[in-house]
Amino acid sequence: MIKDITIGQYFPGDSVIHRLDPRVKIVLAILYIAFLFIIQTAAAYLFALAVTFILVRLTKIPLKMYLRGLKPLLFILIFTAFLNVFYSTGEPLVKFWIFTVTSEGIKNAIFMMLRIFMLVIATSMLTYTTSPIVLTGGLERLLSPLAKIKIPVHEFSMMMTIALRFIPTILEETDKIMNAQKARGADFETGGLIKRAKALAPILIPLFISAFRRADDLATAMECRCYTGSGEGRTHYVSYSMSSADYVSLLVLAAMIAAAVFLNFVTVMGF
Amino acid sequence: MSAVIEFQNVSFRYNEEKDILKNISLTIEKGDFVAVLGHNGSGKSTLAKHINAILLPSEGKVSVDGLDTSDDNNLAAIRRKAGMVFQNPDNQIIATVVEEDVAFALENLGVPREEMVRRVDESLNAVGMIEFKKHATTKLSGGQKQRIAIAGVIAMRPDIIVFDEPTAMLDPQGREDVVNITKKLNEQGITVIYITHYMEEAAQAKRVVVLNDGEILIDGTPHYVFQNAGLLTSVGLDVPQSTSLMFLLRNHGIKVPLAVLNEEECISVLTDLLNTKESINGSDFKG
Amino acid sequence: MDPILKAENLTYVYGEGTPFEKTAINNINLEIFSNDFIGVIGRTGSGKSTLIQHFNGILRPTSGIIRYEGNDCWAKGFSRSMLRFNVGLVFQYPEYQLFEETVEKDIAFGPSNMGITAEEIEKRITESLHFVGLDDTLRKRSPFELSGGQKRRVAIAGIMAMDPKVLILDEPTAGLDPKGRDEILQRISEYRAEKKSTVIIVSHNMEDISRVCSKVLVMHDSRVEMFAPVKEVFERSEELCAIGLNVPQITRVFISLKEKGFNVPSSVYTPEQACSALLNVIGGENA
Repeated sequence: MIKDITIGQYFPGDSVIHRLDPRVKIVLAILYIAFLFIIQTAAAYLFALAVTFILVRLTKIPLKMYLRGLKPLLFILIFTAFLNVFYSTGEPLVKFWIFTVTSEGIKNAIFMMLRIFMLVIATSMLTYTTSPIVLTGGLERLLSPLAKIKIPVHEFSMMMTIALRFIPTILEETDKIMNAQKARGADFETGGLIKRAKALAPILIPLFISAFRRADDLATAMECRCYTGSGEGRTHYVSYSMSSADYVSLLVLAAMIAAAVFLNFVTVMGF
Repeated sequence: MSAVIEFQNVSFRYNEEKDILKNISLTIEKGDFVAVLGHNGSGKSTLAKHINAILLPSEGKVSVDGLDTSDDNNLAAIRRKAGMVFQNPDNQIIATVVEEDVAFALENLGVPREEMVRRVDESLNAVGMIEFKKHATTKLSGGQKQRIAIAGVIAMRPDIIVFDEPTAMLDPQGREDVVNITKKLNEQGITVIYITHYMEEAAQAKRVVVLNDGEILIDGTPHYVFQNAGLLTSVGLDVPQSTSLMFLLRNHGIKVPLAVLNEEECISVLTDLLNTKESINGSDFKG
Repeated sequence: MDPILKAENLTYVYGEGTPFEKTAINNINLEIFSNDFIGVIGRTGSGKSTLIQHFNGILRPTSGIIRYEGNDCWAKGFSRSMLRFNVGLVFQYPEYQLFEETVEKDIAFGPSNMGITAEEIEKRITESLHFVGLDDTLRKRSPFELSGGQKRRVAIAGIMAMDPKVLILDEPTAGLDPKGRDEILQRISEYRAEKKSTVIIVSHNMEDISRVCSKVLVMHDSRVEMFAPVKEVFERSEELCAIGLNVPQITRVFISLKEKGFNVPSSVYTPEQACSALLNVIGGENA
């Protein structure tokens, strides 16, 4: 189950999307999310879906991998759809007991699901195609003006980098410790809330101890490699020079948003 | 040869209870390959951490290339001269992509990008990991991770590399790779301090220092040190199998040299032994 | 006699349907009998760890059957928690799984999950501390204050205290110094002799296995390459070498001597065996 979590995972590759400047990618992702919240008509949604699938194809990462990221969100998706179907005001279609299904409701539910779906794909795409170091580096560069007003941008970005680096390691370790305690008869699946919470101690305590040990080791290793804790005087291995592809993608997205705004005024099939 | 690392009457303790290092004096020559042996808790890792000022002596003085490690102003220079590779391959990799990890020290040192790119390639080539340049670090085997850690250190172009039990958590294949890379680096002129409890690895060094309870028990060439099998076993260590065999043969009254450390030496001694026996048996037969 | 553990066409595939899909064990058939003392060897990634995690029901086979005392471990109604008490598995670096405040509480974790009486648990703590050679005075100490080697023993005692019929240890000597290695192996041998239980040790170290085990299971490329008594497997040391296993130094020496035309066995793994083999060959004069 733990292995299902795909957030923060990176799939090395050499696609057009992989090669984009991380700063551009972050900006694009934010704009894209904004774009998802602008669109309101079926035509605009169809258009957005088409764009999303084209982008997925461009990353050369199988769609299946993106869908996996949706799995943990399935409950929320269904729940919000449910709320939308039954609690929207508008023309009633069917009525039973206290529930009223409206065409507005169905529309809202579908739109909401599509929106979350594309939102997850867009954010996954950012992390799938950008190595965490490059991503945090890009973020650091984007936020670097903030350093002038004494916001610790470098420290923040180094923390992010290390966190991302250790997520897979800690997940793997959790799995290992769980298995080891299972081998001693630990039971994580049955019993009431208190019993289950208690059952976590044999996992959490070793995990914490190990995390502190790792942190200690890593800090020493970083010091040994001349890390001083400040971003001053550091250079960056990953270069950030905007290529024509970066400018083109920014233009394409701008065009898309314009198209979406336009499509917002077009109604299809009566919606 | 000139001294590059010098321990002068170094003692170290975390608290008053127990001295981890007791009045150690040790001089290491430039270009040497020194293996440090000792059982778990003998103080060998503590000794290693003094070389690049991760730990500072409670008493005495450590100097690296003439620089006193307890002087804060020397810190950056010392860390750059003396790189360090640790035991746990997972806990010394900072980046998620191989090339970015190798570049980490260079970024900290403010090396210009073009120079960095060159050095990353060079270092990855030196450890035979260039084809993994773009790979995710977490997906590598223990031995491969350790080679990346070594590349990250050699990218700094250090004069000295301290290896603190680099093979303890590796499988035999990974161990062999790391040992071979270490030997190659030493041949290129890097001074190597190699901490281990694998006797066969120590036997490949030029000098072996054995620590016991924070003190130097014995210090010399591998041939000299491993002749003292009794002393070594009394402090929880061992000798290479070949050396062990020579001791056993001697106990059976067979005259073989004791200074036998590795496969080649052992084969040649045993070949001689078997050949002479054959000729003796042969002459007996004739007689 | 029926086997205590039996694998029938056992196959396990990791990450099925993802780009990281990998067949870890492929169509394994084998039988393990009560009181067997088995050493499992193989390179990293050969499937050793995956195989043993099927023995106590941690992993569910992708296809094939694993049987304990004749019963399918994944059939409806089979109690896998009972299986885990009967087949005790000590993972690699087990000291990292300690979590209780005191040594005795940690050892008691397994037995108390079995629902046995407090007196019985008490008895088992004493017994297992004795088996791993830890002093009774350590009982009330925090496991985190102990040395690395002692922590490992506490962790092993925690499994022994469940009184399993089969005890499996994954690399029990990894990272220990020579003395620690010898001691752990000896303790395990003594435990087996006294409890008449089945013991399986996974190790990279063939010398260790040849010292204590009676049968050897060689894994290679997700399959069982050999499974036979120690002597039979080690007589094929050239083959072991050929599949990339790291055979001991002394074995490599004897393989070379044999290739040179000397009449010596290549199934020599320890200096003691080597010595008696040589005495046999050259002993003509003494005889």
